[in-house]
Amino acid sequence: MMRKLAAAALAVALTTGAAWDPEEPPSSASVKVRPGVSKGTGKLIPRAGADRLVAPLGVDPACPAKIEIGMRSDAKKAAYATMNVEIDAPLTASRTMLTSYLPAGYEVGAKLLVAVPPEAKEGTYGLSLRTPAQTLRVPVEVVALDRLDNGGNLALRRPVAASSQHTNANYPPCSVADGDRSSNGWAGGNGWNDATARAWPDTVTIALGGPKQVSRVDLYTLDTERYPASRYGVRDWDVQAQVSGQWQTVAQVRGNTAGNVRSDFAPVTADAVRIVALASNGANDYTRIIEVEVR
Amino acid sequence: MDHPSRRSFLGLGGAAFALAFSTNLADPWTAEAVARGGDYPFTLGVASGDPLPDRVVLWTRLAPKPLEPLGGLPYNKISVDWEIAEDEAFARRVRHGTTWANPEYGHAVHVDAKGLRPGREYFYRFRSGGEISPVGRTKTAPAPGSSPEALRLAFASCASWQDGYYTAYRHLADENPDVVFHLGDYIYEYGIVPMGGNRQTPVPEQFRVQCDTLDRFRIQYGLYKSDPDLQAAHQRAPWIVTWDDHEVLDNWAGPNGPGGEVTAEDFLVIRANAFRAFWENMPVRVPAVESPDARIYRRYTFGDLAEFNVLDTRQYRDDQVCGDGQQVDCADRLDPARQMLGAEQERWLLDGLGASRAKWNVLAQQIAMIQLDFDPGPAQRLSMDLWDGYKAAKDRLITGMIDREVSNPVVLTGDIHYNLAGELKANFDDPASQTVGTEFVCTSVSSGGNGNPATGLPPGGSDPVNPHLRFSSYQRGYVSCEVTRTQWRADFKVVPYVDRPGAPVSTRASLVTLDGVPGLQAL
Repeated sequence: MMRKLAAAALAVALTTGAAWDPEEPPSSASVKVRPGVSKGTGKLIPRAGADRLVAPLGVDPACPAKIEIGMRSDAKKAAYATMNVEIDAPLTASRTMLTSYLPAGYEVGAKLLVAVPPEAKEGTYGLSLRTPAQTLRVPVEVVALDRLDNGGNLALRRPVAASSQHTNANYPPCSVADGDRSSNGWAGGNGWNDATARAWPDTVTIALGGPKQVSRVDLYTLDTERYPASRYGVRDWDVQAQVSGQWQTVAQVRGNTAGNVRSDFAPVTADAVRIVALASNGANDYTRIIEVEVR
Repeated sequence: MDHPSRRSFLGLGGAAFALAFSTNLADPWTAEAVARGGDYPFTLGVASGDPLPDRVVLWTRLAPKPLEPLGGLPYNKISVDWEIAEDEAFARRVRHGTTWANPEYGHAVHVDAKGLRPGREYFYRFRSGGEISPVGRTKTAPAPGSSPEALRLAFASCASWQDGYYTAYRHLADENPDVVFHLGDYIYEYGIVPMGGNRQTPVPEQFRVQCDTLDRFRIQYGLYKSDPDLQAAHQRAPWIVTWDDHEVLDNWAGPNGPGGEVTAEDFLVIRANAFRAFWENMPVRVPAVESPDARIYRRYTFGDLAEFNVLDTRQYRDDQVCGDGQQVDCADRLDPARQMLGAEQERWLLDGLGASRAKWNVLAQQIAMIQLDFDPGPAQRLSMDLWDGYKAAKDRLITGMIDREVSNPVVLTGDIHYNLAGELKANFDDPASQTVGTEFVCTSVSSGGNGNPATGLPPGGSDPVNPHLRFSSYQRGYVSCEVTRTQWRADFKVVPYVDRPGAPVSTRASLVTLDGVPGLQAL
């Protein structure tokens, strides 16, 4: 369908200007297909993108743990195939089944979101991917946030607050600290888009869970072939650190057109880090951030 | 499609059946359907479609839990009884049968109820597991060769669930049209936020991700079709539907998904899932979808009054050029090799138009055909997704209609979220060129939110950069048409808001085109 941008221009041509709704969300299909050769056995084989899933406890439910699940067909011809998805309570999964068209020999994968309710206990839970031919069990390890291996990224899975959140698709602020730097799946929960077009600044704040020494922030803005950072990314921003209750600007970025920018600064001991976005590269002038890493 | 349905009821005589059915006759409309819970399987209502003079497709889908991929049912086939009668009390039943709701098809039921009389109203309902569905009203097409005096139709498009309430569908239902055309974007593939956008209604976790797999498309249809206003619109009239882009993915084109995001192999799997879910959820008489290829373009004849060519402008088109969106001076849009309908559908369309004996020859399709210049200045800025982006294909069609002296071409269009009325020109850059026909574009039912009543071109006005455009408005609604032997009248029905239920309806504009006089007049 036509973008609202288009509607606005038509209106100008026809009458006086008017306020228009923001443009439609972009596509964020998660299906991934891998061609292959069927063994001709007629079997449907469950697949998982990882041999285990780590699901931190007490994180924002808008950013659940993610794993790719899928199935491969050894049938002789293409068909619609179904795999059942079962998970141990009290965890919940975003699908109870995966049903898809599946050419012979192909594997189809899709995203599965696993939610951990606050009352869940630490430990290993079972995720079962079941077809008539086979059951694949994937352990889900529920760990407390403070015991999560963050690989040195102090922002990983920490609480995030934003000045606003666009509601025409899924743009949760917590997605900037979900450990996924890729722009793929934009609008499907993988990045934050503020709600105020052409209004600045926009802020996104990550609480570090206590005072931490920080000297580097890496920001990943939206950047794909369809949505290049040079048109859709953040252009100007300040990096601020909260030191003894006071926000101070520790780095500034201006005129950015790249998908990710590293800012190094003199070490400070901060309780929180925030990005103050001041301008973007054109397309409807939103702030679009995929990931913020703090070291 | 044929089902094992023409046998008599399993273990039930007709009289007993009629008696059992006659207990639920009060108010047939939908309020009660949404209030039910538990094992009630008809939570998605009933529908009819693709009316012919002697038959109509009756549809339902069993789903006690409509927001689950299999509707909360086990992976078993389930027996469903159906009946169709001349009266709402089912005293004059004319056909009945039993069919299966199969899990492979999401427990959808498509019954082609045959042996009906032309041009008359019928009432139908289903029964399964001791539960009886709401009663639907439908109507057959007039007899072949007959000369109907009038046809009342409505058309609509673009109903993003999270953008607002379907009040427009409710008002459309209240008109009891002879037939409804839906021109696509019946669903949107997008993920839905926890509070349901403008509806402020909680939506479960499994809706966050975008539609791509069949299980995900199924629950999207489940959510959309749970809406009581949409159910009412289906329940009151037969629909003839086609798809646009959002039944699959935004601005898809032939084998191409949105540029750079989805590989060709991924896209064909998504397309196969989307087409299958469409088939499961729509009252269509086309073969069950089993692959990424599905022919849905087809033709309906209403006596000698009107013939409707229902088009598919997505599946066979070449990719958008110049990066899609709006472009100035995009030479590639003129490439004569580029297709909008595909060679086969284009030939089918022109052959059909040439052979038609109908007074009004209608193209029920998706995207604007009149030229739409989005630049208020001297530059010409055109949308690469519309017919303007496929200029040679558009010219072949318009020239083809001139050459065949097609009687009263009328194009019905959706997609753009605007009400528009315009004149089809032999050359849109020359206002003095021949006017070939008329295009009516319906706005969205809900997509885009409330809209704006303060903008638009008054009926009969003229837009300086698009002189063939005679009316526009940016409000939500649908278009109601009365087609007679002397004129086609289009009433543009609008609602003032969709971010809460219950908006009143009003007529923003009424435009008429006269038999034999292409072009528009405002009433």
